[in-house]
Amino acid sequence: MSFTKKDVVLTDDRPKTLLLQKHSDYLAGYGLNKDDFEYCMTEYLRMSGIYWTVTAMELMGQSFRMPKEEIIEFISSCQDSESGGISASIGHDPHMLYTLSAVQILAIYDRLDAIDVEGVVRFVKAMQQEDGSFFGDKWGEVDTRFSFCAVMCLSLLHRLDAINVNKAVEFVLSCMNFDGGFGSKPGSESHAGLIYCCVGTLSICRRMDALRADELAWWLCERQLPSGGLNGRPEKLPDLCYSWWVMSSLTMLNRIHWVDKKSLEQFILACQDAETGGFSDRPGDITDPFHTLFGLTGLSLLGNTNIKAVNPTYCLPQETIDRLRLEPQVLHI
Amino acid sequence: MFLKVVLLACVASVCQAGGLLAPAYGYGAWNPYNNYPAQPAIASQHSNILRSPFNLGQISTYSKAIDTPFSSVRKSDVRVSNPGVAIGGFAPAYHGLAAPLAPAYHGVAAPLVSHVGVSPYGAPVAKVATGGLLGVAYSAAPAVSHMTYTNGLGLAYACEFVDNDVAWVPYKQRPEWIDVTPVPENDGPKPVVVIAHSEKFEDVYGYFRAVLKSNEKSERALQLTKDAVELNPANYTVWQYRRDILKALGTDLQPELEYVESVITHSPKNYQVWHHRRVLVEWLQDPSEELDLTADALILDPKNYHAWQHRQWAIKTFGLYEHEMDFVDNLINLDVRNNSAWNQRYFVMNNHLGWSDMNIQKEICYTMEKIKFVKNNESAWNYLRGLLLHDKRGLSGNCVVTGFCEELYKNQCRSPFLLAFILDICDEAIKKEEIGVFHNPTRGVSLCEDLATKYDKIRSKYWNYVCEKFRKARDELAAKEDPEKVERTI
Repeated sequence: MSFTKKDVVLTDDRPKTLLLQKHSDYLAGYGLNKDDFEYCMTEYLRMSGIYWTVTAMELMGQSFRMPKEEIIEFISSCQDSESGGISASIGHDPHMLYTLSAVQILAIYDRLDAIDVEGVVRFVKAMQQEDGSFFGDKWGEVDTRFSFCAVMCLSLLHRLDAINVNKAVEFVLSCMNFDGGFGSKPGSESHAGLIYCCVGTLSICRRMDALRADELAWWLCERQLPSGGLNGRPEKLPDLCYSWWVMSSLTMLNRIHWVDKKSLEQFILACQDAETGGFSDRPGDITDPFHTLFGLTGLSLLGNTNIKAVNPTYCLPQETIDRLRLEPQVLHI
Repeated sequence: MFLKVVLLACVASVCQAGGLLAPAYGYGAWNPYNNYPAQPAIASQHSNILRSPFNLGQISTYSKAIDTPFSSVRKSDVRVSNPGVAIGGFAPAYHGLAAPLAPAYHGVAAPLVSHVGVSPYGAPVAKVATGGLLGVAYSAAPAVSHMTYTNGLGLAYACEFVDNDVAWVPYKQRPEWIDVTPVPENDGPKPVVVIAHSEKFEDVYGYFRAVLKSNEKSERALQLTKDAVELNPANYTVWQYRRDILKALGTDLQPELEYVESVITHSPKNYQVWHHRRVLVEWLQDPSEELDLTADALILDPKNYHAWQHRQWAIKTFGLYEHEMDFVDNLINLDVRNNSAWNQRYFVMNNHLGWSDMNIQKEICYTMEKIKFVKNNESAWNYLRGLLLHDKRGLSGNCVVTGFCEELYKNQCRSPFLLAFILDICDEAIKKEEIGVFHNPTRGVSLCEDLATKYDKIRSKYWNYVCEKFRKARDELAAKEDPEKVERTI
């Protein structure tokens, strides 16, 4: 009988402490490197890139290192006056993903006035379909990611009333699988990232009762591998970002203590690059802002007090959520 | 070993071909639809920076596939190409600046290789890296099961190395584009969005922004979007505009299908390309190639979420269920732990074959066979649970299943999934008040303890939680059976 699983092995020379200053330097330098090739290539997701960076900096208490006013000006110029949606970068087409990232950044900065809020509401509302699902943009890709974007975005604007919330919940629930997890569409395989989106939607819409909590939480716990790291689906390799997708979901389910926190923390710390700063998907790989944010938020959920508290539903600093007086639901049983 | 040799040989020969043939591939002679797969030569035209976009997709696709609910991130190993800043073997900053940097690559190749070594991926790439062929390609690509891509990468890299920009004619030098003034990127406020573009990127996207601005829908604009896509297949705006043009021109969509297929082959984990494919199929109302297309993608990566989504969409929309179970059987036979395939099995049952009692029993037998083969298989056990959701006897009432579990247990199988399954049977038996010799609270408690302390220690907290429920049930039962005794103990 084989118990072998796909996994990684943590080596002894891995980083074992949190290198906050390194990460702050890494992120501060990331957007400044004019020769940064990656920067040019990620133009199409720039808005999300800024969100990852700004949020990570906030959580480290280093937000002063980010050019706040320039960022706000950039966001304003990415809003499409016609549809009201926001694009990844200037001249791109508006999309749910980047509309959410923009709203998240402005929520952190307490500057939601910098965009046409009614425009955003109009855009999100227009994306909702008969069955309650949401398009990502006018081309009609449907995915539970977009349901989450829609409700998170509108709730940050205190305008959830603009859409049919019951229908939105209904669609998300139609994506629940036989294993208690969720996929991108009805029938799509359960996937930890999409589970986060669906649980997050239910948390914002206060319908956590509809989940098969124990079953789902067990599935999520099964994502933990002997290395301590978490994968996103059975038989896949561990990836640091699942420290967020899985752990945030478990936090909303009030069952985060079911995973082995110590070995997960070791795995997350091992994903740091002691030389360049930043976190990568797996120990030894190349770092990027995306994994850097989710490394930090993962540690925050695990209770690391050198990082500010992160809200498990919104992936924003808890202080932002408190300021906006939002109360996403967390299961209490 | 053979694999590596072949790979290197290919790289070498295509490099030569790239050098020799590239001029002949001048954009004028470009066959718009057939060049993509054969692109090694074309790809070789990229300048140092530019070809990377092409590879970037690749890299992200395999070594750094981050399909997150929010987006997909591309990771590139461009830092290798910066000769000046290697620190302790790791070059912190990247970008693919600068012309042929052959010596630099050798210098940095070593750490790279070690990097690849850590990754689960394939040795072939490491080999390429040490070869100095822009091994950058560290990209490790893809991995083991993906020879095609490894090849593709190797070729692309190798060629760009040798060939440089011989064949590429910038748009600004093309007579047929003389009437268009390129629009430079509005970088927005600095420095947040400073973008250092390569020359080719700037050239192509300068003209792309210009046609976008003037709303030009023409054959040449269609060609232009193809160059833009090649530089960055994840740029969703380019794809959208391409569709606008296709629609406006009434272009024959058959070649477009072939084109997008070739892009999918190179960027199989890119949301945009799959979506483009879906729109085309919707326009054509012709799903005849979708099963083959997705099957090809799934041979390379049996868990490719995009391919599965597209396949399910096509099957559901056009009713293509007929041979799907055979397809699933094959995949499960190839890898019995492939959770995606098990999910697809459920999809076919649920949407097509239905949950008649006979079907359920057939599926139960099938699944038990697979579990006998590999016992510690989360996917199969989950599927079995899923099946029993439809069995009116429930989890605990099907003696074929309960007998099977006890037989495994008797034969010393202690897979956490088996024990967890027996626990669920116990739980249901308690709820239904059908407690028996095998399925009772006391057994539940002891199984939980075994899991927490021996067989699944990493989840001990979970098993302790479950254990509490069984303890409670045990105590309640004891109280019921002998109230006096309990009273006495209290």
